[in-house]
Order: sequence, then C-alpha cells, then structure tokens
Amino acid sequence: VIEGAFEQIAAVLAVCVVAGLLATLLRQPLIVGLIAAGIAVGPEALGLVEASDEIELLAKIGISLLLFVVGLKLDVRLVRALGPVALATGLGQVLFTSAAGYLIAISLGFTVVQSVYIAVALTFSSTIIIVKLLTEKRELDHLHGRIALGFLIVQDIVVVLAMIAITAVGDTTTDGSLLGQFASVVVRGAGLLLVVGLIGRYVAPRVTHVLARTPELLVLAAVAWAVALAAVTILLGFSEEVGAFLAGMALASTPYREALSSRLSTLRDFLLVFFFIELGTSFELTAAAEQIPAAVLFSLFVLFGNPIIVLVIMGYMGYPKKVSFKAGLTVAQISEFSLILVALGVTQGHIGDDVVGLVTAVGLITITASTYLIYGSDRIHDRLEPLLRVFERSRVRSTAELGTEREPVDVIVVGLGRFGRTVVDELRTAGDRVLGVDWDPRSIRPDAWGGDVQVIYGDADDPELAEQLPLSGVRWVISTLRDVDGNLTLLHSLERAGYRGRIVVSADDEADEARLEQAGADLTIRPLHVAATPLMDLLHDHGRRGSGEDH
Amino acid sequence: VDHGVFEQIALVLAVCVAAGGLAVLLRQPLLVGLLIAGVLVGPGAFGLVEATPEVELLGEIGIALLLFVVGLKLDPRLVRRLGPVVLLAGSIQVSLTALAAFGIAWAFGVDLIGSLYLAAAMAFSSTVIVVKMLTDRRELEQLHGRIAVGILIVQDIVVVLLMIGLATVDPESGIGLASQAGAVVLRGLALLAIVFAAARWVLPHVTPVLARQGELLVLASVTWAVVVAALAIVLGFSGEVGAFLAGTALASSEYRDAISGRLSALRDFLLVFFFIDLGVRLELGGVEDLLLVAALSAFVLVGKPLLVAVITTRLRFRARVGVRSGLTLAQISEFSLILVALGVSIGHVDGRVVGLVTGVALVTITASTFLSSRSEVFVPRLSPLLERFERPPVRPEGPEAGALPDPTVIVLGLGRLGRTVVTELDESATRSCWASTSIRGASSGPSTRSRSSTATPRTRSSPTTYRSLGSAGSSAPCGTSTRTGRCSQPSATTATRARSRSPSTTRTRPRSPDGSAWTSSCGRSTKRPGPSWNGCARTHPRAPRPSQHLGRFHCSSQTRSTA
Repeated sequence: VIEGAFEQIAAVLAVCVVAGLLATLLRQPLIVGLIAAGIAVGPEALGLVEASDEIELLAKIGISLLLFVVGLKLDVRLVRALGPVALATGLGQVLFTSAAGYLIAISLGFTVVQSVYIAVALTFSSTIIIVKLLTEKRELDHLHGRIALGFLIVQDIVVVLAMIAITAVGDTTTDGSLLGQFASVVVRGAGLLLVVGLIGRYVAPRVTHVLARTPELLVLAAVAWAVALAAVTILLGFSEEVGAFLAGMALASTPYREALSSRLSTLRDFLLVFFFIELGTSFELTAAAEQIPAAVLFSLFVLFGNPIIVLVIMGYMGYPKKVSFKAGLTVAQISEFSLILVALGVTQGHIGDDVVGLVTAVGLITITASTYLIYGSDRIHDRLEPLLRVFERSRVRSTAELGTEREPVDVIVVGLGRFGRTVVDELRTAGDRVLGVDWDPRSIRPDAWGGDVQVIYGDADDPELAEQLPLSGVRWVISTLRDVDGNLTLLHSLERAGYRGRIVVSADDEADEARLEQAGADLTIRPLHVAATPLMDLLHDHGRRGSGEDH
Repeated sequence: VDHGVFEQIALVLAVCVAAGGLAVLLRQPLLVGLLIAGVLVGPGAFGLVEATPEVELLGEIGIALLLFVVGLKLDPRLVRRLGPVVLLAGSIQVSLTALAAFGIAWAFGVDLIGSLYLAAAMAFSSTVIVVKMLTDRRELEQLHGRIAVGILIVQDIVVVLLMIGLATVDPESGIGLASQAGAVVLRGLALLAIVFAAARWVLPHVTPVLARQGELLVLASVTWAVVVAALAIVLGFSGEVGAFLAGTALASSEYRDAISGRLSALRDFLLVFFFIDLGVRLELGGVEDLLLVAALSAFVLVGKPLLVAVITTRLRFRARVGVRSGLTLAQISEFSLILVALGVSIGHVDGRVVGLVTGVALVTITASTFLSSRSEVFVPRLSPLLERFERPPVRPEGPEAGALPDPTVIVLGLGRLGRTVVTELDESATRSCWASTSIRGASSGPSTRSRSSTATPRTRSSPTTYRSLGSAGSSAPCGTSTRTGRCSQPSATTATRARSRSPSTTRTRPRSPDGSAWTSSCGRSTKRPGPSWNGCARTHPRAPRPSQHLGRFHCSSQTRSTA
C-alpha cells in the first residue's frame, strides 16, 4: 500500500492512463478502459485506493460539472418543446421496466422484497455515462440526445422518490406518511426551481458580466455555482445531478455559455475520471461471479427490453425511427444509482449479498455493452432498419423545429483590438458578414457595434474555441492577436474542428511567422511590417526628390 | 450518508468567488481576492475548512500542474533572447533584494532559516500580475515592460533552482550537511535519469497514441506531472521539482501547446485550493509580526523598485525607463508563497512565516497595482532624482559624429516597426539617423546612427549619416516616429517637424494593411496647409524650434493615390 494521498492519486492516475492507452490502441471506448482501471485499483485487485474520500470528492465535482455543462446548452424553449416526449418516455420506461423486471425476478424465485429492489435497480439508466458518451460523440445537441437527456432527468427525479420510499419503508419510526414526504419533496423542488429561475433571470446576467472581465474568475465562479447548487440540492434531498443541471440552465441565456462550456471541458473530463474509478471500485466482483446466469438474463432484458419500450412510445408519438432507436439505446444499461440503491437495501437489512452481486454483474454487463451499442449506434441502425419500420408511424414529425440557428458568416475575426476593429470595419464596408470573437465583455455588448456584426465571447487560448464557432461556410478566419501561443492554439483547434477555409494570423517577427505557417496558417501578416512598407515607399519617394532638388 | 466534504468545498468556492469578484470590482488582481478568501476560510477567521486533507491534495496537484506548465513552456530560446544585460540586472536584483530583506528579518529577531526564507520570498515579483498589468496598459512591448519581463524570467529560474536546493536540506541535521551531499547527488541523478530516459524512449512513442483523444492526452499529462512529482517526493526532493522536470521533459514535444492550453483551466481551478490551504496554515501573529510585515512591505514597495531602477540605470538605460521597470516589479510573487509552503512541508519554517509572507503579498500586490496605475504621477517626479546614476552611452570606435554627412531621415523609436524602417532605409542607401531608448535596439540595430542617452551607434560601410540628434533634427527633411502611444520622452523634444512635399498635407489614420494608406505615427496631427517645403530644414527659414512640439509628432504623408 502506498503512503500519502498524493502518491496514491498518482498511482491511480497511472493505472488509468495505462488502461486508457490500451483501450485506445485496441480501439475500445475510453470509458470501458477507465471502468477497467477502476476495477483494477479497487479492493478486489490491486487495492490501491485508500484515499476514497478524495476520489469521491473529485468524482462529485466532476459529475456536477458534467451536468452543469449539459444544462448550459438547454434553454427554456427546448424544455418546453421536449417536455412531453421526455415525460412520456421517461415514465413509460420506468413503469414498464419495473413491472417486467419484477415479474422476471419473481419467476426466478426471488422474494417479493428482493424482486422490488431488483426491479427498481433495473429501471434506472446512468445519466452520467450517457451524457459522457453523447458528449464524446457530439450527439448531445441532436434530437435523440436531447430527448434522452430529458427522460434521464425524469428518471433522476423518480430515483429521489424511490429512495424516499425505500428509506421510509425501512424506517418504521418515521413520523408522517409517505404521501406527506412526497408532498414535501414536491414543495422543495418547486421552491428550488423558483429560486434558480429568479437567479437565472435577474442575477446571472449582471453578475456574469462583471465576472467575465477576468476569464479565470468566470470559470471559477461557474464551478462554484455548479458545486454550490449541487450541494444545496443534496441538502434538499435531491441528487447532485439535478442541482448542477439547474445551475447550468440558469446560465444558459447568458452570452458566456459557449465559452464556459468549452473552458470547463478539460476540468470536467479530468474530474470525471474519478467517477469511473469510484464506479469500478464499487463493483463487488466475488459476489457478482456467483450470479452470472441470472445476471445474463436480466442484462438481456435491459439491453433489449428498455430500448424497445422507448421505440414503441416514441414511435407512437410520431418520431422517426432513427431518432427513436438512438434515443432508445441510451436506456440500455443500469446506473451507478442501482448500486447505491442495493447498498442502501443491505444497510436497511432488506436484502443480502446475492442481490448486490446480481445487480453488480448486471451493471458491469449492461454498462459495457451499451457503451458499444451507443458507439456503433449508426451502424446498428442501418443494419436493423427493415426491422425498425414497425415502430414508425406513417406521419412522421418534422424534426427541423429544433436547433439553435445562427446567421451564416463569411469571415471570423478573432481579437477585436484596434487592428481587429479596423479589419472588421473594412470587411463590413465591403459587405462581408462578419463574426467577431473577443474576450472583453464590453466588446460583446450588442450596442458596441452597429448591429450587423455578431460578436461572441471567446478566448483564443481556449483549445476548444473552434467548437463554438459556426465554421460551415466561413471563408476566412482572421486572428489579429500577435500572441504566438494563442494563435497556435487557435490553429490547432480549427484543424481539429475540421475547418476547411483559410486562416490568417498575425505575428511579430519572422521566427513566429515560420512557426505559425508550419502549424497551418495560410497567411501570416505582420501588422508592423505591413505598416512599414508604405512608409518606406513614401520615404524613398521623398529621398529621391529631396536629393534631386538639394543638389 | 456523509456529504460534509462536498458541501464544505462548495462553501469555500463560494467564498473565493465572492472575494475574487470583489477584488475584480475594485480593479485588483484575482490573486488578492483568493489570498483574502484563504485567510477568511482559515481557522484565523471563520474556520470553514475542516476538510484539510482534500484541500491539501487538490492544492498539491494544482502546484504540480503550475510547475509542470512552467517547465513545459521553458524555452531555451527565451533565455538566450534575454541578453546579458537583463540577465545581469536580474541576478543583481535578486541577490541585493534578498540580502536587504534578510537584514530586515534578522533585525526583527527572526531565526536564521526563517530569515533566509523571508529573504528569498521578497526577492521575487509576480509574473502573472506584472504581465497582466503590462498587457492592460499596453506596455508589454515597451522597453520598461521588456526589461521587467526579462527580470521576471531570471527570477523564475532562480526560484526553481532554490526549490531543488531546499528540498535536499535536512531540517534536523542542519543546513547542507556535507556528508549527505553524495547521497543527494546520487538521488538527484537517479531522478533525472528516470525522467529523461522516459522522455527519450517512452514519451515520443506514447504521446501520438494519447493525442488521438484530447481527453486522454490531458489525463496523461496530469498523470505524468503527478507521477514524477510523487517520484521526486519518494526520492527525497520536493514534488514541485518533479513536476517541473516532468514539464521540461515534454517541452520539445509537438503537443506542448495543446497540453499547456488545455491544462490552464484545470491548473487555475486547482490552484484555488493552494491558496485556501495556505490560508488554513498561516498563523496570524501579534504586533511584532505586523510591524515586520509593514517593514518588509515598505521595503518591497520602495526599496525594491529603487534597487531595480538604480541597477537598470547603471546599466545605461535611461532613468525614466529604470523607474518604470522598478515600479512594475514592486510586489512579491505567488512563487514566494509556494516557496514558504514548501518550507512548511519540509519542516524548515512554521505557520508564522507563511503568515508574514501572505501579509506582505497582500499589501504589496494591492499597492503595486495602485502604484503602477499612477505611474504617470510617480515617473516624472522620481526620474530626475535618479538621473545622476545615468551613464553616458557607450562610444564605440568609428568615425566622429561631426565627420559624417547629415542624415536625411530620422527614425524615433526602434521597436519592431522602427527596425524594419531602418533596415529598409539602409538597403535603399538613405542616410538616416535614429534614436532609441533601448540599449539593445541601439546596439543590435543595423548600420545606422542612433542617438539617445544610452544609444550605441555602430558603423558599417553604409551611406547612413551620423549626427547627434539635436543637430540632425534641424537638417533632416523627414522625421518619422514609429512610436505609438503617448510620446512624452524628452528626446522627442528635439524632433524635427517634417512637411510633406505634397501640397495636400494629409495625415492618415491607421487603416487596413492593404497599403492603400500608410500608417502614421503617434500624436495629434497639426494639419498645416503651409507653403510647399523646399529643400532641407537647414535651408528653411522657419525651421522649428526644438521646444515647439514636445513630442507631439507631426508626421505628414501622402497617400499612395496622391503619390
């Protein structure tokens, strides 16, 4: 065993990188590698983790950030548009899975209490893993991604009620009825929504504007806000996911949401690693090994039954089969909550290790399998297409109603200093549609420009900047920053985002110019050099004439 | 279920944001807010933090990342570019400041090791704050900005060397026990060998695979930093040194920029916990400590800038440049805090020293942002006092100034634009005379005449004329200033005013660099439709008095279309 929390974290991280490296080499999803790493460092293998408090804390911050970033991308309009389908599929799937799961468990000879636990455990899908996978596939903004997110949130709220029910059933001394507790949950939930809504409407726009003057502070404040609201929701008896998600939604209408979500992505991805480690360590493998046959049966049920019920409900509501199918795949696994739930059941004395082993095994199988399903969702859909026709109604809903529209632009100018402003002005005069990017909150105010220039908040040092930009159709990206590091970061990020147009960057001297051109700049300008050239022409002109007249 | 830690962290973060927001509103650096937040949540004030192991761990990772990125960005070219003058100025500054600070601490009865730590802590200025300050004031490219940044780079190198040295000193057996030196060297070599073997044979093969997924690359870089830091701790060094080494091992990797860009948000977030941890550890002392903080702060605010000013002035810069460089550096660094935190973890010093350094940091960072924002007030008053330290410019061998023909063009300011202009003029065989306040600008410039109190003319076989600016000013047909921003330097008072030969004396605003109009210089345009200018200034009856324009440079031009 390694001494010291710092050294332990170092060892755990090293195992994760090795597992991640193997997964990448074998072309497997990174998540599978990370869960494997979690199992490897867990108590049943290497037993490296003693610093579980630290890991739990990091994991929780990571989860908060994950859901916060998701919330950032959802504004109220979307919730209104997708509310009904999310509610219908969410509740429908919960009812179906729990009922069917209960029947399977009973028929396999489990007791009633055990069957209830198994049924509830099978019901939930992992919000975190789905969001992570969809983020990686960049499908969170797609219709199926948003619907999936919607019913996952519905599930999260049902989880809260289920947890309350279970603790209430176990604890006979509780005063007040189950109904009363439910009512108080509803009241607390409504109060939370109201407060967060008010903050999002009146406080956030003003405060973020001040905070954005210092980009580091903006990031810090966002993390603090996400973590604080997550902590508050935990105190109110909800899960931290709900709070962090609401925190994100409160900021969804500020102009900083893109910048925040890209700035936070590294932090989130890094901290989320600890979630997978925690998940891996919480699998009880020896207990799971004894339950393999039953676990396989339940896993098949989760892997096929859950997607099918979603397909049926969404098909009935008139969604195209591809959307229904891809949304359905996201519920084909059970959640880390299921593990927490059965652990709770053991402490209440309701169930024994056999159920824990069963749920662990089902979790391991379904989480791994559904990762592959979601990764290959397009290919699987194409294979199964003929079969899926059954689930499509003749009149398919139009899916074009969604998506944030932004006006197409011709030129993007990064950096709106004096030089940048001149460039924007000239381009505007020439009739080009220009998008400006600057990190000074004052220059993104709508009144700072005539109105025909869109300006967004962004930082060239942010490696994910290009993800925020509407790059399709853009002919030129012009960076007026004379900071080599910022320009290099911008070039890398544009390259990664698949930008096809041309890139102009500014440089100070020839060495920088060479580095930038090597990194993919189509044209490098040296504003000071450019300024000198016409001056020289002028001086030469003078010199010739001057000496001519002198002598 | 115990949620305590998570909620505590939430509370701590909220305090940090509140303090940080307040600092930003008051136009103070974020660092000040974080330091105050640290003190507030610490046991001295509200005592919010009980979760010290977690906070400490996060802070440690943050510091590891900070030094990792410093190592990653360490560019040998940068050090070479500094030049001997700045290198010398930096070294003298660090040693003299440390010496004086040691004296103050010793006089207040601090023990030997404590005084040494305080001395070292006072010697460094904050790169983060200075660069931010200079950028905000658009002075990063100006001469005093470049001198200040150069000195900061020297300081950073000294910090790292100190950290390596400190961790090898055993607190119990005294300082630098000779018998252990062999073991220390061996262990150090082992660490170096492991890191550089990995850098040579493992990392180049692994990084391309890792870089296929950005996420994995970040994870792997953090891991590399933390693992080498842990290795360094196991071998008896500080984790900071390990992380720094880990960074240098990747400095030549092509993924350097990708890594450092992505790590910055993570590093900044985790560093918050370092400041919290610092706040938790510090002990607020009594009256005597307050006095010591006041004395050290006064020294950092007054003595250190003065020292920098005198050193730079003695190194043949203008007094004004020296004063402005000095004013920029009048604070201590976050590295001072890291250094004393390291001292605490080794067992060299206790919470009292941390408290002292935190106090000085708070006072000096706040005050220096204020000082620097008022530099217009201080510089003109202080510069004359220091002018007695000014030394005449180096006179290299070459023809005497009087023996050369008159210049036709005077270029003021030899920044990047100025140099380009001079080079081009040289190539076109125009006689020019140029002025710069920069030693380097003057000495490394092309074969042209330069004039300023510190300028160094150098001769080559070129038709460029050499004259002192004062007299050249009256004879050059065209004065060109390449300076932007406020033109208030005294040398500009002798600037000549030039008129266009073109009847339409137009001054064009900077426009797009398409060449349709050329960029003019600083200052206001005094648009004068005066008579067409005939011949050079010497023959002109209305040659301007030197005092007439006080640096408000009139640079007239003609647009291409009229040419």
